[in-house]
Amino acid sequence: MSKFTHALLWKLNLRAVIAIVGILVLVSGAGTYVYASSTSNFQQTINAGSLAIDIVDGSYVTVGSPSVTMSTATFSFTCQTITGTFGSASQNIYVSNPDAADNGWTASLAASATTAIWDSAGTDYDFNDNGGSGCTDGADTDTLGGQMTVDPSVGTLATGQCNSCVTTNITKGSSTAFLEGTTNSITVLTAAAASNDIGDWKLTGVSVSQKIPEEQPAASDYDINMVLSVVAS
Amino acid sequence: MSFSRLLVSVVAALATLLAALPAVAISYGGLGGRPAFPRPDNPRTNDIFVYTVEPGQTVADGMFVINTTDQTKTVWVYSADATPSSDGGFACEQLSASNQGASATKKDAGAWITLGQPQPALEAGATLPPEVTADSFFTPPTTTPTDDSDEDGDGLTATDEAQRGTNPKLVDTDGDGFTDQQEIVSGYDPLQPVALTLAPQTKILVPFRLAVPGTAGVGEHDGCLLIQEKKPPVAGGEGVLISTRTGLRVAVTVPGDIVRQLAIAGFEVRPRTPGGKVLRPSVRNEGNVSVDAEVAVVTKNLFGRTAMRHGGQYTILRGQTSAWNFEFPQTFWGGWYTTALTVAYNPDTGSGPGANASLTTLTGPTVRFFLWPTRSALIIMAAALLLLLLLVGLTMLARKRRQLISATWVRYRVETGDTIQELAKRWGVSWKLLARVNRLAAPYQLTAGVSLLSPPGSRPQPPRITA
Repeated sequence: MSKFTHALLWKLNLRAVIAIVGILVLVSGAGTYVYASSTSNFQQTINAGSLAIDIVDGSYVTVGSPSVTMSTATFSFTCQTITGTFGSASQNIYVSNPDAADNGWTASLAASATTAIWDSAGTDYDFNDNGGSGCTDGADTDTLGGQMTVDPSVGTLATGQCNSCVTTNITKGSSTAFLEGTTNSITVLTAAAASNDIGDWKLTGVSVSQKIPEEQPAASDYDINMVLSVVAS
Repeated sequence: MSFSRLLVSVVAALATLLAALPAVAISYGGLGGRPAFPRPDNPRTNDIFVYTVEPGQTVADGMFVINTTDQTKTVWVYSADATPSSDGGFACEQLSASNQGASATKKDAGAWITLGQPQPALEAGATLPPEVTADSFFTPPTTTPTDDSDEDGDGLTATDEAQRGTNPKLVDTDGDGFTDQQEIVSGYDPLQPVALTLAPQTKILVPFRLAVPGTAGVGEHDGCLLIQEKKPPVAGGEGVLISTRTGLRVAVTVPGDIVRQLAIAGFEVRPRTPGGKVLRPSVRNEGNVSVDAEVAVVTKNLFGRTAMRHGGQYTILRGQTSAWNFEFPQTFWGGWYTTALTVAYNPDTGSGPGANASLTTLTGPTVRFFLWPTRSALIIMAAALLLLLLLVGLTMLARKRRQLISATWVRYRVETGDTIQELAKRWGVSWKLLARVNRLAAPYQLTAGVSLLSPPGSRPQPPRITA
């Protein structure tokens, strides 16, 4: 008989070990996670106001000229995709509702015009053309190719300064591509009637991608104007 | 001081401190609007504009444009047609498509709105005197003799200005930087967008008229009243340049053969990043007015217990299919889930937005899906399984030990000077095991001549014990 077997058989306190292992099995089998949150309550004075949307920094100060910086691309003989992130720690998408849209609201993103383009001092390209999967000019009013896709579903929605509001009943929109005349506006957030009547929310990390047609001339000043709207509905 | 007295003192001090806390002012600084004349019979009119208007009729109303920021803001105020956003959301046409007169880009409820003269600014929290109504700001048109004078020098005669509703004393009635005549010649609306400058914590009442044309079709027509900050163009900008605006829905129902009908268009379960599922019901409005639908998605686990409820009341616009992305996050333990969709709505054709009535319920498909456990859960499960195996092994070991003791242990006669610890050490076993097998109790003293069960090989060799 080996030393180990001998020890197991004749020296181990089996009752104690079985009791310990049994407790461990019970504990691990019944283990659950409890999510606790602080619910401090303070007196509040709610100033009169209106449903509003803004781009704010981490201190809730309006950003003067908000923008989404896209990744850098180099000249290419093939169609390529650049990406960006709408909503960040320094440029939060911010919706506040001081009891002004009790039946819900919708936040959406659209270009300042359906005929808008990525404009540069030289050549331009489109944001809402699905020709060649966004790589070539299709049957729209311009002669440019290019298509932008916005995906709010990958963003992170959080409450803002409110003490007790929640993100429940606010849903993020789906990944959608702009298409002139068909999809001119992309839903970013939808708040149901049961969402908090008083509250504020921040959205960050919305994915933006843009197809750039092949042989698009290099330029460092491509820009496009877009409008973020919130509408009480 | 006794403990109870100390406790009472501490609690009293904390209560006093909390009661003395100053009120914390939450100022959601923003730029937006609210209806100025909400109707008591429809609470929805606190937030949006809701009308039922016969073709050819006109209603007067007003909107407060509110600036609760700490900065002076200059804004455009304008009306626009509604336009569907993705997933059937409610959105409004852009300023570029809205500052023209009734045209191909502005032909529905947005084109029926005429903005009136903005009123003097009020404090943001001020209320209107009760005698002020929406009609107070419009005077009925009067027949006046032709007047060819042009007091403001904008190229329009007083008669022209009266017909178009422009101000005969202002070159640029809406203040958008273009004269009334320039806008009319170019096909733009000389009455909007209205440019307003609001000091911090103030609001301005903008009255408006909504004139439904005689040719308006039966059903709901949606438009918007929008407030958009006027910003100078960004020089040398790069990337996506963002501006923001706030809007209020204008829902106009033209009475007639109203149809309020919804149908479930689908119910999908999609993967979610970074884990879990997206439950995506979609509902189609087959009527000619918008419908407020109570959408409910209930997800149950394998044991029939409700794991999560999603849904709420959503407005489904006329002719649109609305879809929502309800997130079912990765659950810790994973497993099989079943999710079901129901949609309830008010089919009463006599009710508009904000009305209450009995509901019709549609039942959608039931979808089953599986979620993998999280990595931590997998580790815990593996550990639990290992522990369970260990428990089984130990139980088997205990059984084997009992069998061995019964089969192989022999009798030993205690000699003078033997102690249980010394015997256990000599025989290579635990003294506790020796005590337990021989039913010895503390203080475990041995008496010479007493017979003990001992492991095989212990001396002297007594006769074998049989079971």
